[in-house]
Amino acid sequence: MSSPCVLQAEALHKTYPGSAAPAVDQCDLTIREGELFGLLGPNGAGKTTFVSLVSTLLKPDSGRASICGMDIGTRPDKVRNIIGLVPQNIALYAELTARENLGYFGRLYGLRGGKLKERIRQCLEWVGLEDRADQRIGTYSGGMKRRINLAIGLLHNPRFLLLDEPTVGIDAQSRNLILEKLAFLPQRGTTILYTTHYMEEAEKICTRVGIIDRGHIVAQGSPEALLEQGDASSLGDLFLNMTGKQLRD
Amino acid sequence: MAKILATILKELVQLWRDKTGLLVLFLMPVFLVIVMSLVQANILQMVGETKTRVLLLDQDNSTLGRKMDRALSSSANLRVTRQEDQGAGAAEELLEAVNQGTYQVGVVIPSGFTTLVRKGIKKDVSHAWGGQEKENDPASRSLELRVHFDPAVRGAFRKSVLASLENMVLRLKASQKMELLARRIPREIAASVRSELGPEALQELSPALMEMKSSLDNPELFRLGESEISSDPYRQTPNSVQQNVPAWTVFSIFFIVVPMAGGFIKEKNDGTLHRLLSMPVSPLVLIGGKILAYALIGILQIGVICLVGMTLLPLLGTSQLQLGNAYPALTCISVVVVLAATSYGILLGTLLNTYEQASTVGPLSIVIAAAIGGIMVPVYAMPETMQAISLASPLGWGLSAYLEVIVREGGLYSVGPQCVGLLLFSVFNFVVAWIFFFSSLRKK
Repeated sequence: MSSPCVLQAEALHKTYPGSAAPAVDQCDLTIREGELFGLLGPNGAGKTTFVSLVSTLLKPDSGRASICGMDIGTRPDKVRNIIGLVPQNIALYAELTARENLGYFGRLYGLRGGKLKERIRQCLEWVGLEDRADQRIGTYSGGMKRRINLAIGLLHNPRFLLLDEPTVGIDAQSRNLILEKLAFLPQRGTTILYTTHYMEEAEKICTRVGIIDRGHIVAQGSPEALLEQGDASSLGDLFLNMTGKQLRD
Repeated sequence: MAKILATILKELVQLWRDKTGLLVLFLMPVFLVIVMSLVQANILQMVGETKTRVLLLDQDNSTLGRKMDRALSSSANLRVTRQEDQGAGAAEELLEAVNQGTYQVGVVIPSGFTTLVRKGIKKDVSHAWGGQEKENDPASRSLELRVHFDPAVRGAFRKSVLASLENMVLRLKASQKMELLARRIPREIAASVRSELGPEALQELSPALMEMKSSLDNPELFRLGESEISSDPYRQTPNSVQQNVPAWTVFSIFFIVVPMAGGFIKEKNDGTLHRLLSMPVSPLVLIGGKILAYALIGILQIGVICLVGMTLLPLLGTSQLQLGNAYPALTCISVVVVLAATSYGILLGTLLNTYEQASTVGPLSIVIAAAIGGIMVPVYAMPETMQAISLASPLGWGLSAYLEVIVREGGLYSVGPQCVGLLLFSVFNFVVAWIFFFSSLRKK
């Protein structure tokens, strides 16, 4: 018996005002509980738009999507309680300390008092920044900022975590720590949608991947199955075979 | 409630750590209030908008000299100092004090002033009665009340002071003539009645003649001074403190648009806003938290600047800021000014795309609105066309409302139009900001 669906997207479609081509074009995608799904695609393929649609930031032009059975269009407030979004940018307040940032976002998730303090402690420990918690974010290195950026998405123990290229521009040690920690999350009940440029990352931690190009998901399956199906030695080769070698930006 | 409090706290902590922002919001207006109040106080003194310092040398030391002294001292616009030294060099001392600017006006009542004036008037009255030929007395021709001005005092103000002094002299003359006539007329009538109608008729007429004397000799005539005219509150213009404290308070409150819009743009650009909107919190809570945080800052600015006006400025030699008792009106004005400023901050934050745009468009638009609205130069000192244009400035509405209360003792009713204008301005900003906020979300 298969695990219950966490994300179910059907013919999801979005075209930005003034744009001729759709950013997300009739996308179907199902992610089941406990999966770590990697969404791979070149720049401008539609990864961030897809994440924005399922995280309720954008309204689709057509199609529908639900998270844990709740429609994102009709019940966005309920959906927001169970998702965690880690945006591509460092979405933190540089003038506040890491603890203050976690405290503020935690309160917006409805955490209070001792529970909030405990979750802040756990998250800081999880990303290895307990000792630097009272230092302002503006003084952090890129890797430290990325780790706190990730920790905020996990504050309220979300059932579905959306990660939009969380390892862009960081050092090897921070990347390794993030990937190691992420790989354990599905076992603790958090399902993950992970977008990235880095094929080796996806190959290393994702249980299933999808390749998106020009707003359309052109292939999906486990990394092994896709490699076999595409007759490629690595996900990188497969990716170039499917999306082409021409520059996109 | 906890979410809005968290947002308020976050905004306040951010602002507290932005030392440049704090300098702009608190130190700049305090500095501007002090400098502009002191500079304008000096200008207003030069043009006579404040009490004019008069040095009086009374060499007459008799009735008219004292009456002149009393008349000058009773004027609400003059601060009279009497020169004690009346020796040989007294007139030169007075001239030097006025030339150095210690006093703006010096008045010398020459020795023998009373005697000569009375003599001259007596001759005028006798001449009018037809009893005596008017002759030119060389002494009365040389009679001169000398007035000296500080060289820095402007022409129009000199003329106005001279006109006031002439008016005062005329009153004295008229009063002296009336005194003389009050004695002469009943006497002449009595003499005519006695010679024409006999002593019985004179006896019957006596009470009427006494009443006539008393009416003509009415000293109350003298008390109709110009101070009564100038005490009309609606003709009052603000002094430098009354003008500058509310003016720079309104200006500094509107300056919160820079950190407010800048912070909002930063949230939009670094993805924090997207993160916030993916959380279980209403955009109204996020925007409301920002508005309340900056409203607190605005109220604190008002408190700090008023405190400067009430305690620091008097120590520096200006008059003290008096807020009066119309606290409901002052509270109402403060709330709508703060609301107008925060709504404008939100509007700029949604319309503009970069922090650089906010830090240029924000201050520029505020400085223009301030210049038009009478913050820098009082509206009453502007040409008529500019006075009409000043009606379009929300900063001008705020200032005019504060002046209505502080200078003219107005209340809630009299500041109603300005408050409603600021409220409508705020509503307009919020509506436009809301529309742009959601349309920008659709555009990614």
